[in-house]
Formats: sequence, C-alpha cells, structure tokens
Amino acid sequence: MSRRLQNIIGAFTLLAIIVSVVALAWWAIYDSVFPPTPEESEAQLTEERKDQFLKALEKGNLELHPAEHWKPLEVEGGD
Amino acid sequence: MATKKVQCLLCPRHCELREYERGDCRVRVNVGGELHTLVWAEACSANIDPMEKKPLFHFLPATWIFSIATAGCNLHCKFCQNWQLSQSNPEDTRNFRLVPADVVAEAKASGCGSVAYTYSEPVVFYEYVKDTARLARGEGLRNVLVTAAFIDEKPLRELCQFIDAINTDLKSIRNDYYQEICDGELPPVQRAIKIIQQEGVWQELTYLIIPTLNDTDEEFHDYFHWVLDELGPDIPLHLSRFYPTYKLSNLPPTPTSTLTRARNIALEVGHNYVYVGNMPGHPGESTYCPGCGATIIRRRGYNIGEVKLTAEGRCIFCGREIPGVWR
Repeated sequence: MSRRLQNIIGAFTLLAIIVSVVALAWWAIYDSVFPPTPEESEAQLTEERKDQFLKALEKGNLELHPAEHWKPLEVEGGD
Repeated sequence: MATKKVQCLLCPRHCELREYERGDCRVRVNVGGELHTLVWAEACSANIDPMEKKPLFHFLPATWIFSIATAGCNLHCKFCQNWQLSQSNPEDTRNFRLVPADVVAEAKASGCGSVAYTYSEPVVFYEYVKDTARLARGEGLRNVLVTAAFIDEKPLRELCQFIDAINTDLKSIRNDYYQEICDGELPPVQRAIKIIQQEGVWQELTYLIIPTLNDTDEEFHDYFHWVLDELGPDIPLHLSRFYPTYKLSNLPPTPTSTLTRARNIALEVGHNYVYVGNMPGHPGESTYCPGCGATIIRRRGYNIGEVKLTAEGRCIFCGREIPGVWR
C-alpha cells in the first residue's frame, strides 16, 4: 500500500472518530442544552401513564365507573 | 397541552391526580379529567360469615351475613390481616363480576339477612357499597360496614343513610401510631366515629392490641376514657388479639394476660360491654348484663350458646335494656 493511501485511510479514520465523539457528546448534553418544555415533559409522562393504565385495564379486565366526591382542579398550561 | 388534574374528596388524603394517575388507594383514577373507580362490582372476595365474625355482638346475633370486598385500601397498616387484597392493585387480584343485583340475589338465596362490606376497606369501594346497600335495603336486607373510618365527612354522612351497623377500627389513641404503623392520621378517624354516632347508625369499636406498640396501661386508659367521654359507656368494645402477620411477623401474639388487663381497665373506666376477640374460650367473649351480672349471651368463638334476652332486647333476669339491634 502506498504511503499516500495510508494517509487517506488514516485521515478518514481520524475524522470518523472525531465525528463519533462529537455526536456522542451532543447526544449526552442535548437535553440539558435544549431541555423539553414542561408541557412536553407532562405530555410524555401522561403517555407513559396512559400506556401503563391501558395495560392494567386489559390485564384485570376492569371497567371504569364514575366516582363520586371529587373536584376538577385548575387546568395548567394551555394548548 | 392542557393537564386535567382532579382532586379526590373521598378520604382525608385528598389525592391530587394528573391524567391516568391513581390515588393512594390504588383504585380511583383520573381518566380524561374525570375521576373513576376501577372496582365497582369487581369483587375479589365473597363469603357467608357469621355476624359475630365482623365482629358485631349487639347486632342480629347468630345470623349469617353475605360479605364482599374489592382490592385496595387508603391505609397501609403493617399488621393488615388481609394485605393480599388491601395492598394490591385491582388488576392483580382475582376478581369476579358481582353487580349489586347479584349481591342481593346471592345474599337472599343463601339465607343471609344482611350484606357486609368488609375484609379490605369499603371506603375505597364507596360507589359499589352505596349502590349495593341502597338496593339491598329496598329488598329488606340490612347493611354492615367494617371499616377503619378514614373518610371525609360528606361522603360518610351520605353513606350512613344506607348503613345499619358499622364496626369501626379505632386502632390506637395515639396519632404517632397512626402515622408510623398505618400511614394515616388519628383525628379524621375520631371525627368519623363521632359522625357515625350522630347519624344514628349502630356502631361497635375494635381495638387490635399489639404487643409493644399499643398495649400500655396509660394508652388503655386514654383510649377508654376518650370513647367513654365521646360515645358513652354502652358502645361495645372489641379488644382483639393480634397474630403475627405481614410486616409485623416479628412480634409475638398478644398474651392473654394483656387482653384481660385491657378488659379490666375498660370495665373500671366504666364501659358496660367489653369483649375479647380472637381468643376462643375467654370469658370476655360473652355478654353480661350490667344490671344483674347475669350472662345474657354466651359465646365461644363464633358459636352462640344461650341468649337470655327478650324480643325487645331486655335482660330476662332483671329487665334491663341492652343496647343493640336484636331483630
């Protein structure tokens, strides 16, 4: 292999390593640089709770029945 | 993105719930900004018991009672005898669909004159209790609640309209006991006990005596004096023996001597009807007339021997009226 070809391969390898390190670092710090908004977090948590709840309903073959003695609380955030 | 939070107003916890979140009781859930129960007609236990097992000693003695429960509880007592039901999510218990009409039909078919809401905590299956009790009463059955009475005033007063008798657990007279052992609070329970009395529902109290936790003479005096001052001398008191279980399996069963000591203190304080429970053969199982001292209902375990009461609930020896619901 010629010395020129070796240099090209070495340069590409180095570039790949640098790109990987930068991507990894970006992935690691992305959430702290661009944190999700409270609404996005809440939506994600709601989705997770919904999934768990639907699985529980199915597992227990349970049905929902209206409850008494409760009140709605002020709606937070907005569409 | 809007969040639809609700607040449950059934028990003193007043859980604030986001969508798809459940209350501390495990059975009430916010779906779409409205509170729902997961256990309406989802019975996980149904049995025919003697009335004495509830325990109720001054309410229709020697009769059978159809008894149901669902999963869930709003307390977390370390000594719970039914923790497999009370501390489970409803999807994790083995349930069977038993709508109120089924409960009433089963009770009547099995010769029971009453329905009990018991084993776990009927407060958390409130809507199921209420619907069943309303129907049962319409069919001539009585309704019995066995509860820790950790419930808010408004729902309790509503429920009392359909309930004929309640055995209430007053687990201790110390708030720190309620906080540390039961994950609850004492004052709401004391308030509920007084409300039940005001509503005219027949009530008996159960005091589970646990070695080293609530068994000092000082606590016995405080407990019995509070009951005497607030409810009078005629409310039946059940001093119940503890057996090691759940998270308190390290403690020994309550010694007979402790139960006898507690009973003697209650009698000295001025209570007329003090019973020892979970200890078959103890003389404290029977009812004695406060007027003449005669044995008017002899019991051994859940078995009833002689009943020396008139149809009106009077001692046949001296004619003294014995408080209770006798027919």
